[in-house]
Amino acid sequence: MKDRALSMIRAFSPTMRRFTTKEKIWIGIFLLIILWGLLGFIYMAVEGHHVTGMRDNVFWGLYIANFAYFIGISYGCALILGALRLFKVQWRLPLTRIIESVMLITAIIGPPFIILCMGRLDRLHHLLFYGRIQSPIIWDVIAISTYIVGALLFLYLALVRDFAILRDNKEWVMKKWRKKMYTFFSAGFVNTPRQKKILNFSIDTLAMIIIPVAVIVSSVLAWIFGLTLRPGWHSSIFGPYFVVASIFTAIAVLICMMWFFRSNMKLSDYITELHFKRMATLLFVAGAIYAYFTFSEYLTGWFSAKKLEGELIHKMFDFSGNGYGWMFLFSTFIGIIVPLVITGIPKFKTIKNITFASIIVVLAMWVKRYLVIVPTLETPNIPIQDFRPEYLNYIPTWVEWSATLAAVSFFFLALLLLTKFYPIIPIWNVAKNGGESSPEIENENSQPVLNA
Amino acid sequence: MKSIKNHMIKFSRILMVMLFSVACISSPAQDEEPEMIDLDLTFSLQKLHDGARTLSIKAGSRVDKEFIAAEGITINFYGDNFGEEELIGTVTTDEYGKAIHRLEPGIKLPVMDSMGNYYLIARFDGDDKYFETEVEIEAVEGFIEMTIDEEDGLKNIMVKVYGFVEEGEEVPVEWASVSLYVPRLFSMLKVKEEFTDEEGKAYFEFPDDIPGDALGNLEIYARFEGDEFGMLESKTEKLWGIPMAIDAEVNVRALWSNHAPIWMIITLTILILGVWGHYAFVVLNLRKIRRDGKSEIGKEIAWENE
Repeated sequence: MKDRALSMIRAFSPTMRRFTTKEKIWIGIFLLIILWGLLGFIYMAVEGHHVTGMRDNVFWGLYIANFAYFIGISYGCALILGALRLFKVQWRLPLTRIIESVMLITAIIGPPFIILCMGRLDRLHHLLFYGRIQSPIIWDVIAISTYIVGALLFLYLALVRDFAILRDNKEWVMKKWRKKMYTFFSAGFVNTPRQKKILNFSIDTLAMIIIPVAVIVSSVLAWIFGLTLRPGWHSSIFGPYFVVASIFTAIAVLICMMWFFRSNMKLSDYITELHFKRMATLLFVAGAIYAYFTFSEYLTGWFSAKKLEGELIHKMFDFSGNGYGWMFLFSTFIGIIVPLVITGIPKFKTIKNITFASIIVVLAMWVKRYLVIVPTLETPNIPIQDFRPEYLNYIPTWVEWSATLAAVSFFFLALLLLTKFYPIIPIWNVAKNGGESSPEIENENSQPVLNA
Repeated sequence: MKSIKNHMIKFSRILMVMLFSVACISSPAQDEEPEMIDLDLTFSLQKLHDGARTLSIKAGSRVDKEFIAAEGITINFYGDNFGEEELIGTVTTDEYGKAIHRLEPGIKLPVMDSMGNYYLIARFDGDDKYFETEVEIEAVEGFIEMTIDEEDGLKNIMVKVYGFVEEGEEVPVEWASVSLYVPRLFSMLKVKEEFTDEEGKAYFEFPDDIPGDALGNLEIYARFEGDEFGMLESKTEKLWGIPMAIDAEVNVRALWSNHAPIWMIITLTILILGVWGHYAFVVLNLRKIRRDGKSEIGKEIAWENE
């Protein structure tokens, strides 16, 4: 194991210790976009929310769509991570660090979008001091804060062994601050039998608890919509629908990230074609369940055709330019059928095709979040009296688009910076469970990592 | 070839002239004055149960058969006092073109003749948009009285409508529609409608299934509306409703009250304590790992034990 671990350190340390010119350029671009997003936020805070497209009727728009999207990815990652660990799936080992990183970063990106929606930021603390426990908004505040702590703990516990290896290795002569940092974060782990037992048990405990937590927080997010009487939202299936949508999106994002790291950090020895195929199978299963839920959801609304529900469905099939026909076609038909075909037929399951299918899912699921929120708010239960077009129809402004791009930039920037802080492939687990950690090797060495 | 070119030049000149003409026709001249509009005024009179009167006005105009409310215009009400106009009050219309002037009980209207007829005028003096307009109504002083009677469990109401007392005699309003109302949350609920007889009396048997307040109190209004009288109203209060005591205890813990339902608090507490308890357990374990590590100082790990 020692040799394998040292060879991995030799492989990863150059990328961890310095930034390439390409990376520096990208960091500059990301920082500029984030800065632009911050300027947009300051402009909004000074001028008021009328600089956004949000009005009395459509009081949630791009911001909440982004919130649901990013936090949903995080919930999905937590569910995948917890389930793969508890089921002792060996092939997950090289992917766990990517999953944990995406889980944490998206959990941090999502919640600020709620704050962006608030008209009176000076009353933000009222949520804590005067919140009513009956309100799903308060459930969400409690759930998200609880979840973020869990995600952070999970990532940290999974990193302890690698921090210990990096602390003790003689292969990479690192700077003092880095050595001190690894010494501190390795929590004195020296791999005694007792420490091994405690650490494994702690990670298992978190893996076990993170699954129900992710299901609950995802459902709470769905209930913010589902517990209202609005058309398109008031649905008992919304809780599980959001859970499945989160898993579907998260798998697609993870496949894209696998491709990104594999191509840019030369990780083809660790992230193999078989990893893509296994993840594609998961994408297919999640996609099939999601397709079933989607069909059930829209069939119920369309068949019963209550006045406003019918109006909403009509907007989804309106291709005239006043409706959401094209967006609906992309998110609900292309975004489901194309990935299912690619991941369902073995002949099509190549790395490129699987990544292409995942990119479609990533985009389609963002459009889907937009379609869940905006058309419903444009179909109010009580018609408004002041029917200026901007009151009836929502069009996001540059302020909202800037915040969206800033969030995407933050995602990549944080991921890039984290790869300088810890190895993106878990050294300990992969070294211990066999070189490239490919599924074939795993069959020969099928000792569950829980017993490691 | 040349003739085609000539045709094209000719055609483009004609086109330019046409476009110029259309532009001139469609864009109004800058110094053109806005067109003045006729104002429609609808004037009505109400005599309320407390003796107060209200003078109501609705102002607007008809444009392409559509009513456009005249907002923010000033209407003066006058009484005709033996040929002399006497200002009663001034109102300004709201966004719906409506305005109401209330005359408190005791304020007498100018009386014109011995028959009790009086004349009221609502006048708009005109502005840069609307022409000067006025509307006049000739009204008769009317009265409505309500008499309550309970006999053999039946709740009877007699409503009498009559006009000005001429030489000590009442003039009954015959075959007129009179209605009973009870106020509900948003508006008045019409309970029954009857017609007056030759004595101006209408008889009602009041239903006994109308919800009242906690004690069963009901406010009952009798209303009559006639062209010459305006709207007349009388009111009484009786314990004729079904007592609707709201059990406040039931609502103490509800989604809309200050205290959350017990089940919700218990569920949330279990969930929060359960999850945070696990977190605390994990953090304590980390402390144990750190403590164990201190006793193993100098023993550089890691893979040596594997």
